[in-house]
Amino acid sequence: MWKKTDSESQPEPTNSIPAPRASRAPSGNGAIIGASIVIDGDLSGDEDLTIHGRVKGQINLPKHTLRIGGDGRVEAKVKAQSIQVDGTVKGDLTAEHEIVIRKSGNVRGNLMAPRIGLEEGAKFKGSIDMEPQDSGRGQETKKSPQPQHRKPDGASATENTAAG
Amino acid sequence: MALLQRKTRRPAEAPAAEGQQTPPPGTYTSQAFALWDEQSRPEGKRHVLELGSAHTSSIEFFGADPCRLQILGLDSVLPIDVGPLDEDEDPSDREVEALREQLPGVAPQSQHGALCWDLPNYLTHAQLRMLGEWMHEVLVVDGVVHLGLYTGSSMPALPPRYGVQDASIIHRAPRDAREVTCPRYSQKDLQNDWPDFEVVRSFLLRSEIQEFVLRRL
Repeated sequence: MWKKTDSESQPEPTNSIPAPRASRAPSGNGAIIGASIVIDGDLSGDEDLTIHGRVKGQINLPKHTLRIGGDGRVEAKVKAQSIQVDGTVKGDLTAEHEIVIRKSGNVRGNLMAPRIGLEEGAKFKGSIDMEPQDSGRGQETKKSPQPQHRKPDGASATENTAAG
Repeated sequence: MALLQRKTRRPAEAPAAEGQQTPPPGTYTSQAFALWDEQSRPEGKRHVLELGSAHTSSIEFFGADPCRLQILGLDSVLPIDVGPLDEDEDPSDREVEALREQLPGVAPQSQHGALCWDLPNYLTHAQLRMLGEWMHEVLVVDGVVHLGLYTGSSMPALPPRYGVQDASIIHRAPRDAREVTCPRYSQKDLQNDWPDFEVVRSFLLRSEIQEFVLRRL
């Protein structure tokens, strides 16, 4: 009698408000490597990828996001547009946009990206290569480009100084 | 002026200088870091060794300019417990070896600056000497090191975590409320253990830490 409209009959949309959750892929249609899957070799693709299993080798997703879930273990050289790490990674990570290591993340390797985020509690050992695309912010903190051994201006009245 | 300030030293974090804002809780003002920052900037990309942990604010700070920041994470392994020794074994050999295993392979004379924070206080003399030799190997000539020595009788049982908020404000987050006896290394100890460095300047903080900026000779 009361015919539901199409919109009423459909389940309530869950992606109207972005809700990043540990168990979800970065986008609705990304691929997922399950927790029991072990891959030894090279991975490449043209969609977002979430890894909950183990991957050893190389991962190449130049236009997409790679997410390593909390139970994911990756030992690989990784290139992606963006990389989010909740799990464990041993290897170099390169991202065109950003790399984010979440609080449960543990990374040992070298990071290269314009933006790098590290949540409180995240573990990281390695080097971070940073080439800011917009150097404007840097100019705010940048001091004299000539490194000279001179006293900083305005010596604080709160500290004692002793020349070496 | 300097002597007068030494007399007024108190066991508390240094308040901001007149006309400046008080640093936020959990932070302190470090002129030593400001000087280190100024002197570790090359013409091109800066290469920095962070002997402590990675900190978001440090990454943001150094990421404002081209930089390669190498994180060693020694604060999570110090002080090193070498375990039981054989009867004829020299403990310092084991201690030095244990520290050496924590140091990564870094190209000789490739780094413009190093941040040691208060980690030297958690090293033995033998380890401190070895770290000085390693620093001398990896830093460029005139490369600079920032470190702090506790001057009081006690210090945190585990190294705090440090982060750079800006050129003079440093985050300091304790990881353990317990305190242990401080080795009370002096400037003279430092100069003996690191003969290939000279003290550019030192700052005695009211929190009973003496900060140093050292230059590699």
